[in-house]
Amino acid sequence: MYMSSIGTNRELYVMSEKDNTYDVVVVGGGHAGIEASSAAARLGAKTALVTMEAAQIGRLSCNPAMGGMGKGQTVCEIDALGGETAGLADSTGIQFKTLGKRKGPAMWSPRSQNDKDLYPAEAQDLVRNTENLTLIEARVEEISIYKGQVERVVCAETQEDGTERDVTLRCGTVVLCAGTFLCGKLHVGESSRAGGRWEEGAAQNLSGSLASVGFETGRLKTGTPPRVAAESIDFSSTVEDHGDPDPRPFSYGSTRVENRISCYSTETNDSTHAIISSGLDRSPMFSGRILGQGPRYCPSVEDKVWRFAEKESHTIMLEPEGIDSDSIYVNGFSTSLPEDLQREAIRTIPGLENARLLKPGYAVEYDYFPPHQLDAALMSRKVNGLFMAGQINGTSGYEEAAAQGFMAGVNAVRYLAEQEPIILDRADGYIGVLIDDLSTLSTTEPYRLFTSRAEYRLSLRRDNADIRLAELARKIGLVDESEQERRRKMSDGITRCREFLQSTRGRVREDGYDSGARDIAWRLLKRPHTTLSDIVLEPDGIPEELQGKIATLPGGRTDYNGYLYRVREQLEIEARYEGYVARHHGEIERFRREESRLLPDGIDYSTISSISSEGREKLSKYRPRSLGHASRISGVSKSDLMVLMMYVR
Amino acid sequence: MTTPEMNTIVAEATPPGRGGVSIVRLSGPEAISIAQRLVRLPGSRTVQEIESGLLVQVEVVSDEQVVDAGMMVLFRGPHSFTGEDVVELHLHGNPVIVREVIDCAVTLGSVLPAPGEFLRRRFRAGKIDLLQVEALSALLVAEEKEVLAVATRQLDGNLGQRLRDLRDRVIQSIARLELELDFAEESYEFVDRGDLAEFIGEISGVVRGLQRAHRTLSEVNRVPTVLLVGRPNAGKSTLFNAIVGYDRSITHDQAGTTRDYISEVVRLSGRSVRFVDTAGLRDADEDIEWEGIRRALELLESGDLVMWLSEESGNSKDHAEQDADVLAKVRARVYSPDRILFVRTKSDLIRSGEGSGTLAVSVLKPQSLSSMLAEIERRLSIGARSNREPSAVVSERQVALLDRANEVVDAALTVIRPDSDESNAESFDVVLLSDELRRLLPIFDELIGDSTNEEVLDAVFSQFCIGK
Repeated sequence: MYMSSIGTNRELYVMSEKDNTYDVVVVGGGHAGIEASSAAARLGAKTALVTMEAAQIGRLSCNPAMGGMGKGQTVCEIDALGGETAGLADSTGIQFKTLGKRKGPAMWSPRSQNDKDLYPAEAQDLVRNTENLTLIEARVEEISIYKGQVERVVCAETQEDGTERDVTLRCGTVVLCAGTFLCGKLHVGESSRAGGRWEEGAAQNLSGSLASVGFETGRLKTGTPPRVAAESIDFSSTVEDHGDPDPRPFSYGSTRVENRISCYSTETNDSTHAIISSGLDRSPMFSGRILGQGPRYCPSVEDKVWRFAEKESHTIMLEPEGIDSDSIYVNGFSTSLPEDLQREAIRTIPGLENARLLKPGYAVEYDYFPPHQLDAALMSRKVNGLFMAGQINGTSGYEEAAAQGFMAGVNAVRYLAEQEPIILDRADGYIGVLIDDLSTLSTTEPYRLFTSRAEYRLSLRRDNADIRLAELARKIGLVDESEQERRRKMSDGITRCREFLQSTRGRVREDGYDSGARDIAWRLLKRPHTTLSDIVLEPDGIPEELQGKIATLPGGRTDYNGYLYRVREQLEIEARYEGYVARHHGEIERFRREESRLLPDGIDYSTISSISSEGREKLSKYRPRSLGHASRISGVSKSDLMVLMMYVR
Repeated sequence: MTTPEMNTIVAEATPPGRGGVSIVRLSGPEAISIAQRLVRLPGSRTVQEIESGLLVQVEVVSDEQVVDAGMMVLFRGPHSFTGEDVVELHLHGNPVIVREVIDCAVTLGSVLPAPGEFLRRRFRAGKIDLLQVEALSALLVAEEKEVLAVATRQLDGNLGQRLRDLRDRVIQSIARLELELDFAEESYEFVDRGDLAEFIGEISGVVRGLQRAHRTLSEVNRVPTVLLVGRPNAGKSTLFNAIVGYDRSITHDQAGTTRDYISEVVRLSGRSVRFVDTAGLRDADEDIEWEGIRRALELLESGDLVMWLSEESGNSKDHAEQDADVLAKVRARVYSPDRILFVRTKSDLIRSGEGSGTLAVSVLKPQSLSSMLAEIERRLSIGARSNREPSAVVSERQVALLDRANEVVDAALTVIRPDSDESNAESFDVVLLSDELRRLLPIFDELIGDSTNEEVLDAVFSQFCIGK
């Protein structure tokens, strides 16, 4: 077996019959934990997933949705690399939409509504049915470290009689994915209590145990809106959204998904804003009770009212939490106002006049570990074998968490096997952007992915993630041979069709945007509003072997993951973006050249006197791996970089 | 790696040579401590105790020997020219003293600066932007008062401020477009499409305006050339000397005296005009003279005005025929008849009434000279030129960047209006527009000098002299 051949220096338990010894112990069963444990186990490592409540694995703690701008592409990338999230989102999805449709193909971002009961059920099934993966229901109290290397995880397990007993797991690596549970504290208006999620407890000791060995910790805050009973809503005064008429899955392996519910949009108004403003002093965000920083990008409704005072209304989406669920998620109304004010404010919104709150909106405040303490493989710089992923690294969002979990799980196994870690760079994908950003930003507020964070987003598209990441996926080893073969074939088909279109003439159909125009087919395709279906190829020279591929290209949009559809889509987008992408290639080359100018590990920046004092402080804190990396750290000036350049020469 | 900021530099700030006062300037972290060992203050005070900006009497010493008695001013950073500690020593204007003081300062640990180094430190300290540096550069070499005026105005940093504002607005537009992209769920329209097109049009206007200013500037800065051409001994050199005002050319009665060409810049109505005295055109025997003729013929193609000189006197038939031959050659090179001015020289030697139709000139008749110069000004449209004041001084470096900016702006406009006839503002690719706008930012930064690589800065600053 693959793992049996791995390194000799590190202790491995792959084939160990010993109880409570594992290669990888994953702490936490959220979106990061699922990916981390599944990836590690499928790569052959003996893996344990430790969670406080197995029934809560894979819960959608906040909105009942996956994907969105930048995040949807990330889910597709996880799928392309061999992760699970896309498949889970597809199989439990109840409505699908591509966001950013009018903004150009680089923006096309898949998003799904998901059934809140189905998703965790499927996730738990997956975890329970993964070979090499053991599920342990316990609360982690301490991660013990021996000679700079993780050694044991100490957990408290509740027994049948209600008492707790300590369980110690010996391990080679730990992937910590504790989400919002480290010293989690829930706030509703003026009341607060310990907990990482509604009606769940918190882990009070773990972050302290890590802080005591020198980990820097910080405090962050995030919020969630109230849930409202569907039967109390008057949907007739809202606008129904059926989802896309031709719903499209995240996963390149899924064939078909369908819309099974509708969402409804409505909006806030003056009276809503007046009530919210009147309660600002009772919102913990404003009264200063919450010390953690809240996310700027997914702001609470009191934040929106306060900051965008000139806006007369804000969009509110009413999203069903499941097919059979009576619970409606009030998207856009994240709040920590007192429950009475929430109720009063929400009832000013059209359709919600008689709304009954099932669960109030609340804020949760939690410990996180500022991620400059990690390397690009997501392993701690301080403690070998300790990986961290997800919200404890200061990110927000299921997708960001899942991506980190996957990479941490893969790299934990590679660490044990003494293989080079897999690191995506900013030109490889959104996952690369995410992890690189974590290593340079001082996240004082939860980090969320945006398309605008990705310099090369014109290339980092959902339509090409499987082909774009094929080589990395092969290296990781979680994508099977038949899927790799499918990608090779598709990539080859695209190349051949492109070459053909570049050497064949065509004309735009009579009903096309530029009807009658004649040119090389590829050039016609570059025109805005022109698709392959608008082009009639002048068919004299179609080689027989391509007939089947080309002649039928302009066809119906039936199967999104079908060969013909995907080839056609890529050709259209490639033609349109060709010039831009070519320009980016030049930039990517320069970027990678800077990334490859490595800085030695142990530079003592305090001895380089000609670096500015701010630069020295930042360089010592973030410890960049390359000159390119150093250039992205704010506070490191151009002349600091020049000094470094001379230093490493 | 030299980190220039860490050094203390020393140089003479005044022009080299003998004069009333010479100033030696020290700038850098060690300026005060070096000065302390270089001067003796009255009452055994230390340099460190001296108030900024105060002129104090000092004795300058080298090896315990008093070299000079002078004045000293200390400007403490950041409130100084370079933003560093600056010490000025005002010495007697003798190069020997200056050299001794500089040598001594170097012995004490300061270094000699690169050209423009003081200015560069000022730039590094953020006290001046690159556009101001270049305005200063233009000011120092300006030939024309219009250019001087514009360059002086530009010293205040207005152009940089304007470009900075424009860049900030580009950033705002990008930010708004990005909000629109990343918050697709919120159906906000963050940027009005009309405003956006108008804004890009405005950028285009500014860029093109600066490009135009550069063209005007090079035209204004260009000194027009007037060639004095004719057969040997037609009186070219005599007239040249009269125009230039002193004996520059050797005049001689013997034909073929001016074998090469000689030129001199003369101010006509406040504008510089270059007059060129050429070798007489004929079939020469001597090689050296032939070379002069060849050069004269070459010059004909680039000259703005060609004065064809022929003598009034002694116009034997022989001469007239030769004149006609040579004139034909000249005409073949000059192309446009407007560019030839026919002048008859030595008009004091002829009887009045003869030779109408061409200008008759005699160096002995000042009146005839000044009417000839008036005619030259008219032909060169000097009056019209002086109205063409460039709106800015734009360096070659800037023009290269402006060309790039122009290209990007055009590309951005193409994204917004994919088809000029059927513009569909609603559906343009916002990502591509954002991509184009992003490309503008480094160009603006480079223009202002906020992010310019060291080689470019080297090139800009090396145009200045050492003590600047």
